[in-house]
Amino acid sequence: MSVIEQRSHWQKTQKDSLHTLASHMLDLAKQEGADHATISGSTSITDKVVIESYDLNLAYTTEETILSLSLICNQKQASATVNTTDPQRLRETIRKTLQIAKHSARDDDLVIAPKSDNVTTLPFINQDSLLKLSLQDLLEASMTSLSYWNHQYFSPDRLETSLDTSVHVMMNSNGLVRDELSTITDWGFAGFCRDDEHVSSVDYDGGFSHTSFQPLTEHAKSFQSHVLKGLNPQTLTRTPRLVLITPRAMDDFLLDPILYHLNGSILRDKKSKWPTQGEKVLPSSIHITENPHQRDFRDATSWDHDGLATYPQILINHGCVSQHIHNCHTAKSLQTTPSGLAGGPFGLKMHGGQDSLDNLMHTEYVLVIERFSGHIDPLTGDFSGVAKNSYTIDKQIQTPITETMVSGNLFKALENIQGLSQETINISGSYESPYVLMSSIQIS
Amino acid sequence: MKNFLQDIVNQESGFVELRYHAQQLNNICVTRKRTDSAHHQYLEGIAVRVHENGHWGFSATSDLSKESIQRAIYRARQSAAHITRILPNSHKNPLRKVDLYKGSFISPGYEEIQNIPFEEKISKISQIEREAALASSKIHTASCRYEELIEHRIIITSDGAQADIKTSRPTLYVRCFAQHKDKESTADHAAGITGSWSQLLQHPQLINASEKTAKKAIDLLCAPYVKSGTHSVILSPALVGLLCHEAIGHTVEADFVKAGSVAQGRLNTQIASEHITLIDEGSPEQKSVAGYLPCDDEGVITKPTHIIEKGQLKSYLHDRTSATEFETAPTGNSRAFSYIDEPMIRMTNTYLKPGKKDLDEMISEIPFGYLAEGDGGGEADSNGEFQFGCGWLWEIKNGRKTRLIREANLSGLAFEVLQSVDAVSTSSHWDMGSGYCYKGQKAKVDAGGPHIRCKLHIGGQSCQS
Repeated sequence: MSVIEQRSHWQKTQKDSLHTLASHMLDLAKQEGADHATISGSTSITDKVVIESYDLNLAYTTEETILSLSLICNQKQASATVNTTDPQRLRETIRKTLQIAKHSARDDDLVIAPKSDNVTTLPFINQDSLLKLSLQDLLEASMTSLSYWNHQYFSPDRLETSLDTSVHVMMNSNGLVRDELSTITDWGFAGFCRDDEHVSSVDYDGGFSHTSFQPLTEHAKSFQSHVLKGLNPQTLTRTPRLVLITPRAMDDFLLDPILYHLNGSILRDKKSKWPTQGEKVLPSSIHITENPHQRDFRDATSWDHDGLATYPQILINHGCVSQHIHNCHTAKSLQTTPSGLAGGPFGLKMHGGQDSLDNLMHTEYVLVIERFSGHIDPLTGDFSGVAKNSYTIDKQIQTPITETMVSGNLFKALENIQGLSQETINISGSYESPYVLMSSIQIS
Repeated sequence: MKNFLQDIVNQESGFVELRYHAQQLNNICVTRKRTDSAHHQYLEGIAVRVHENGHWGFSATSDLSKESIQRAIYRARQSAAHITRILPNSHKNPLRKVDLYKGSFISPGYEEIQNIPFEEKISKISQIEREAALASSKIHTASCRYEELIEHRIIITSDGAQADIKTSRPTLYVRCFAQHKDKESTADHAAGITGSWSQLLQHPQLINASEKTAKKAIDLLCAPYVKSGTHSVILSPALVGLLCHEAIGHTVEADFVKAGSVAQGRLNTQIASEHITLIDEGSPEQKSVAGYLPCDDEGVITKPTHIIEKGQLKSYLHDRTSATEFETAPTGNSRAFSYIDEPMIRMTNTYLKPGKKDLDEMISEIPFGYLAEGDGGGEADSNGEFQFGCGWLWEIKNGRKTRLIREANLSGLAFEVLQSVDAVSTSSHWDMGSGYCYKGQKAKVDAGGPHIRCKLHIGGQSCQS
């Protein structure tokens, strides 16, 4: 058999095994007294290469099966995770989980997903082009990347590449059945620059693919070049009025607090500032969508963690709340419908605006924040921390800067958005975002 | 299991390391009377490493049969062979000989924690949550979370490690969110140890935790924000622990040193004031520290590693590989979180030695500054640049604590801050056991020390730019 045929055969065999196992566990759960049960299982083979500094010192292959179960009995819930497939151990796990559930608090909103139609498998999710890869391919790609890291002031910390071939199955006692085969490659770089005087902050880059294994040479060169821009940092002597948040800093800075207030659990606990759909909560330039079927997103999936179908939707519609992030439980507690976002979002995109990045960067003296390290209170929006790997731009001249503290309140800063770039960047498959220019951020 | 694994290793050639690792990770979380989580997890497997031609191959299996372990050894050998094929001219020294652990260890409370029924724990967590929630009408939400990490590790190597280690590490967090008119604030108290359920509940941080947390959250409602700037600051043991761990500890992990961290090339140089002696120790006298380990995951016996001695950098933290490269002894810092994780250099329990000054005396000598308390987590960097949050501060004016200030961010360059230390208190506490260190995988650690007085940059809502 070819490598592709071997791997495909392995996946098919594992899928059948997981189906049988999950069905068996549902039966056991019912026998032991559960009213409702959800079983999720996954089996994966991972090949991974790790290079530390310039040293190729570790290669590995692991295989693991993980089973998770969630049981409801008399509207009381408990859950478990194990890595055994032994029937007797599984029965003991189910018994123990039910015993624990008896002592949980009763919650009349506990519910599992109803049976629903089969969902369409995403066409890009398990490609032969990846199934044929081997550890040898990862090793060669890693070593080739390493050969491009040759600058005397560049210090690579870590380079990792991996290939994950897996099978996922979910079933519940309402008859819902889901399965998915997937293969994905990931890569990650960490490094910094140092000369005789100065050591920079660690910088990171990473990526993935559902569909192809491209040489990492361009990424490696670009990463080294990017890191080296941090040489000879200057202390900030003149405080800019404007701050440009790059897409890399956006998840900490903006996206996480926004998602916090859209989260069904936060809504249920009456901590969300944005409980009302249709309410205008952000400037009209902010438009955020969920795109769970796009191959550019690492977590692209056709079903959410409850097993419900995912679908493209708008979360923030030009500043107005369009959709909250609900699972079956929070939806029932708030008497609304689940939004196919349990465990999500899976393909988050903040859309671009009207301004060219060139204009945003060069109109006025600006601090560009590449990475933010600090604390943001999502409830209040207060933040305080350090701008890392950051620089100023003044009349086209880019100057890296040393540690600079920034603070303020995000929601107040959002009221004063000065610009949103047309250009958006996908950050390692996690989300996509434009650059955002803000004032009202304190710099010291 | 120990003899079973030893038999397998004895039949293999070259260097083979087998690590049996059974891990229970159970958690309970109660919020607003709701059981948000009542979860138990049990993962068990064997991690395999082989060292051939200076390269490591790693594999793991959850199937504990002899055939499966032997297949995993074969896969690990294949992985190492792949590297040798790619790098045929790479010559590395064999691993240096080292004192390896031979024996058994069971942490106090290991049996007790497993014998206490889950329902008793749920009941207690629910009680703590209710007490916090009902402490005041200004408490909008209270939550209480409990987690226990119970592990059994057996490490057998072909050069003599025979370790059988059982540990239990429980942690408890209480959090209150207070709201009054347009003001909001959050406070928490947490503690984590190696030990039993009853020992955890008797931890000083958790005595009356509900009332203390609720009161702090309410007090913070009216507290102002700090004005940013560089100030004289007394750091509490929790924050000293964070500084030791984040800002110094990571920079002296040998893999990071090798990459070029700020500690590279600075052994035997003065990097801190003479008041500073910093130690990482897997098995200190106080066995209840959250990262207690008699040996690491390579079977190396843990001993105190004096990283900084009276301000001089004396040692990095090593595993067997880096120790061989640096031509020194391993320091017992090789750890893996689960059976499917490869070991890497991690800290254990990191602390500053206490000094000679009384805390009240340290406060009385400050014309204007702060006493920073309540850690909020943080991170540090290759260049020693760190930032971490503190839950609250006390303003000090003319040698006296005055008003409470809201959470702030502390930052600086670690070695500069340590050079500015001019006083260290006599008493010392461990206070970082409730969290995990993340470096690609988790590790249970602890840190702490005395109060120290230093110069730091504080970031708040009003800046002095």
